[in-house]
Amino acid sequence: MAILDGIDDETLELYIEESREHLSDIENDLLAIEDAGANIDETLVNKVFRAAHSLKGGAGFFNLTKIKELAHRCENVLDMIRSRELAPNPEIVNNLLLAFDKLREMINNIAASDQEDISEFIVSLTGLTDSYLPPEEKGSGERMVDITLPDGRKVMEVSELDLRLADKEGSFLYVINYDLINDVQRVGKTPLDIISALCDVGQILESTIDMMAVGTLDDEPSNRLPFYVLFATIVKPDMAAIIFEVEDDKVQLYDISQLPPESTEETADEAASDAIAPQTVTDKGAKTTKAKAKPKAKAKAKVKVQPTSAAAKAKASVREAAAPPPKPVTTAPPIPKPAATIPPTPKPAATAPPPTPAPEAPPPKAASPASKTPETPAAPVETSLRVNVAVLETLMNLAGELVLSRNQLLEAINQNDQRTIQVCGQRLNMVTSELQEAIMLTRMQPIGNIFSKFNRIVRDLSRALGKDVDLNITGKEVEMDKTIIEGLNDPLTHLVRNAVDHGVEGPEERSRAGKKATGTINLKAFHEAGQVVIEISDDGKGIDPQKIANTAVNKGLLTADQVKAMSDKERVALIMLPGLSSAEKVTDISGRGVGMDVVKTNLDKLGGQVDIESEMGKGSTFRVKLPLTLAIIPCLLVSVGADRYAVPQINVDELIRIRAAQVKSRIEIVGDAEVLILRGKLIPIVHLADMLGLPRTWVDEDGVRHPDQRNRLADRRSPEHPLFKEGAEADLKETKTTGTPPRKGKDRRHRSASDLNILVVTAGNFQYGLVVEELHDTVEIVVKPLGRHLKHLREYAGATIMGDGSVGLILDVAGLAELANLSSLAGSSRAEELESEAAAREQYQDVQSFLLFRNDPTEQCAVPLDLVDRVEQIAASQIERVGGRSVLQYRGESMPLFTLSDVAGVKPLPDQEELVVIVFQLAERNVGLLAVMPVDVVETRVKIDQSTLLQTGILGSSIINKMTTQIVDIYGLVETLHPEWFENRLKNRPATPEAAQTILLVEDSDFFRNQLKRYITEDGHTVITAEDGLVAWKLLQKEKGNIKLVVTDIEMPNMDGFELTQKIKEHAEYGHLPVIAVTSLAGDEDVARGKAVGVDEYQIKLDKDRLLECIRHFLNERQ
Amino acid sequence: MTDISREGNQVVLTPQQDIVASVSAEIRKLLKEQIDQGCKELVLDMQHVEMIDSMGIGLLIAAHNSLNKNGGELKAINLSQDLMSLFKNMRLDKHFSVEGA
Repeated sequence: MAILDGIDDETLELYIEESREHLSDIENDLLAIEDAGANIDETLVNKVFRAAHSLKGGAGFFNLTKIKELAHRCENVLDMIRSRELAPNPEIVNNLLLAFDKLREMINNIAASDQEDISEFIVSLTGLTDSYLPPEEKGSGERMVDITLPDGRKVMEVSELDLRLADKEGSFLYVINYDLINDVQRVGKTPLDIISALCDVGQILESTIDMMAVGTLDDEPSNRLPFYVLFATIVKPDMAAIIFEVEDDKVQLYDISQLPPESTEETADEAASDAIAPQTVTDKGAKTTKAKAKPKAKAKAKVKVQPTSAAAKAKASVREAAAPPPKPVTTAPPIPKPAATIPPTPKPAATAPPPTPAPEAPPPKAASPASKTPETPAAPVETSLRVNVAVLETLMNLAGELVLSRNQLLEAINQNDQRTIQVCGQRLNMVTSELQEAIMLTRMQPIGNIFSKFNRIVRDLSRALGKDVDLNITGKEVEMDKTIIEGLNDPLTHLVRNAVDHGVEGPEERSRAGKKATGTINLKAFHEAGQVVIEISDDGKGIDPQKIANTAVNKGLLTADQVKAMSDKERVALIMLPGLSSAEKVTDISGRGVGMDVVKTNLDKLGGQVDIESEMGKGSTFRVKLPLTLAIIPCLLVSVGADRYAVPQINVDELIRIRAAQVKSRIEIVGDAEVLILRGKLIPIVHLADMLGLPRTWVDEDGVRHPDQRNRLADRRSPEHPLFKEGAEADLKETKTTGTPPRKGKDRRHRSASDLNILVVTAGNFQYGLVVEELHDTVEIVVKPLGRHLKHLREYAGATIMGDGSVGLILDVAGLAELANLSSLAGSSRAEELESEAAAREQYQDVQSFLLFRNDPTEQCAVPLDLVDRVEQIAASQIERVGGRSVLQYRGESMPLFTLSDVAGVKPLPDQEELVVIVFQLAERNVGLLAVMPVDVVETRVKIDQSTLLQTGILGSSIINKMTTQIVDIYGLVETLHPEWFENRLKNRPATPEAAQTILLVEDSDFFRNQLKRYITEDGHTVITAEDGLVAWKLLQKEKGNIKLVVTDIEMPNMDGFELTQKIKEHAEYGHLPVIAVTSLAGDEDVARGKAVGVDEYQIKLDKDRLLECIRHFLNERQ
Repeated sequence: MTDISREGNQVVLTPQQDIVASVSAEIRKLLKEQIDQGCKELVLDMQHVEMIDSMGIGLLIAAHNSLNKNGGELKAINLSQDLMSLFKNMRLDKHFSVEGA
């Protein structure tokens, strides 16, 4: 630690701390700079610049050469960004981010910082600055001097000679910073006024106008137009601002003594390269290479400008002390102002893309910070804290109050003055509360401290993964206890990374799903009911509950039955199970062997709860609820027996007192368990006494405790129970005969002491009711850890000292639930889910398109649209009657015509001229059905009543467009009239040996089953049908080798199409059977799932031709 | 208030009054139109201009920046002596070409 010799630790500590602070903000600022692109926000750039600058300054002081060097390079790049010579693009910002990462690393390990290898960073940063150096367009021989503002910004270059000349003349040199809009226009002057005024009192040596501040015509007119003038005048510094008509701080005195010693013209070049170059190395390191490569290049000396007031005197003294210049300047050849002295034209940022590597940083570069970030910021645990002075003052005051109260109290105790003791007690109470609050304040920190780093994480991660992700952060200002904030770092990082890695999809996948390519992650913190809630939500693909459940079963964490009883929400919550990592393939980004269980463990430690909401395809939300602080928490005191227990208020949802008389109607027994009916929900009940192994007791009106003999709260044997009215008597008798001991004393049901007190508590994702004997106050308790010998007890979370000095145990609500083997009771949320599933199924009811027509103006009929070939409008006169049959000339042949009344008991076709012929193709010919207008097509999910109106030619009825509609069975109609047409059918298809082509058709809807059967039979195959998967499976086994192909619906009772297919495909004997799914489940997921289980062809209901073609295809292939 | 004439690629704008804040919006619009139409060589004839205020300067710079972006250039001609001195002192002559009357 030689470098730190002679410097006390405290100063160094201070530097380290300050540096960390600077660095902590830099990341976001840089990202903001990147976002702004060429349109830089100067204050922001300045901020980062200053941070780099102070890092450098401190490092120089402590002789930390590597830190200084790296900070310096960063500063250079930032300087160029600020002067708009360099437009910040992702590549530049990335390099800066990496460099600052390195700086942070070095600061965190400051002793070893000088051994770090930073050459890689130096090279990349130098590369950035070098490539942007203005072209060497100036002739050699003239020494130029950079004029910089106090903040280090270079505004112009002037010939050194001009400066010296002015100095010789006894002028003061000023750098004046005008804003032409605010300083000139606003005060009713024109630039010409200013320039004329200046020219009256001195000489403008050089000036520059900030061209880029104006923007283009496309931008809003700028409200700022900086104009810098280097002005030589005899006006004294104290008068300068008044003469120049600007504020004091806009005028800076230029101190010429900062210039390097003058040299002769001949040696200027060499001297420049010799004497100046070394300085250039450290000062403008970026330019070193150029300077060396071109010794003739103009040398640069950088001179700082000091504020007038401070520099004025300095200058005066310098003047006196300064030795006369070795050579009179007048002898120097007059240097014509060459055109080359053009002030460096700031490059229009937008038109200057970096010539260096491709704009996109190479992936490894982007990935490396991604993998580093979580460790780096987390590594240094802060050991010191900055506290607002006002808070400290308050603390001091309160401490004083406390001392006073103590003195008073001691005095009062000595004198045994009860009244004063009481007063003191109250006073102490107040002071303590205030003290507690004030101390809490010192520990409170805005959550933004950890939120802000997620910008970087999301940016790096999404780049590494090739995703496009926006992060929105709200609620940065929410304050929480420092320890909680620190503890939140890891779990939140994990959640955010997960959201980017697993939640948000890649851009292509997103656009395929119809979302915008850029994913969004919202990070939100807010107060809710005395807690802090942090939400991490993404609009990604969501979590598949089934997949999670399957994984849990596959890994043996749960049994299939357990999973079956779970609601989707519970299944999703399984990702918190230890040992379950949902990532299908482990990426180096978030699937690092540790899963969400670590998140949960960490949050549990903080007293936090995680709630997951996820919707497939829409995204997931992780909601973390946290207490404001850990040390002191509000608790509800309850008691069982003689002992009092504390239940953290955070877990308590509501308190319910059930009157003894109402117990029966409020408490139900489901299976073996008692449940509370609360607003239509079933909530499992746990008796605290049972859990803690205490006897259940009750207190009578004399305050005497008795053992409670009720085992069941809801005793079904009571005759009054509404559910048991019918069997009541039998039950009653039984009760009597079995000889339950008659109850002694009065009926307890009417006394308040027998009322049931239930705490509805939340443990993790579900609620349950905790039956306790008595409810007491809510108090703030101080949490003390349990001793080692009690640590293993899951029902307790800790202990505390009660107001009366006794020890109370804090109940762990989640632990109790675990002990009671509760998961959310089968039935509650699962039942809700089933219900909604049923509703959803209703929706899935198969969609069918119908052609609507009228047989009679009052009689609406329909045929499935798939059967219809064409609809033709004809005149009645076109119909020819040949041999007692109606025919129509249609496409060169005589098409037989039918009417519905030919077979069915419907009204005859009205006698009118305008008719409609619906052309069908069946039995290998065209047939026409005569009907009348209007004709319409509807797509509807109707239920078809297959009994009420059933008759020949009509296969059922339905309500379509509010009219009873008869569904016409065109096959039946034609078959009835011309059975011979159908007899020939099979003979016409010699290619298919009949018996070999049996097809199993599985469909739960009678209508569709019949229809499909007809189509397929019509096409020459034999069809056997089944109503659901289970029947089909049995048939398959019965028919053995006969069945050659399976056509199945998906949505079916008992066994759905997916399951059936899976069974078939997994079976050795039937595995080869082609399976065609015909369904109205058209979602991508469904199709994917179908493919996954082995469906050969997935068709959406109902395209007859495609289906038949497909069947033929599979059967032929088989042959 | 501003004459416009075209000579080949060159568009000559001749403002009939001083380029000051009150008319800057109007001239701004005019300049923008010309540049949007693809004009690469924009000449401002200042024969009737006696004064340019800060907003005016800003406007010229904006025009210059816009043209520069499109690869075009701005020219100011027929400048009065005062304006010439203004432009020179502000070093605007380093950015675009300036001709006196």
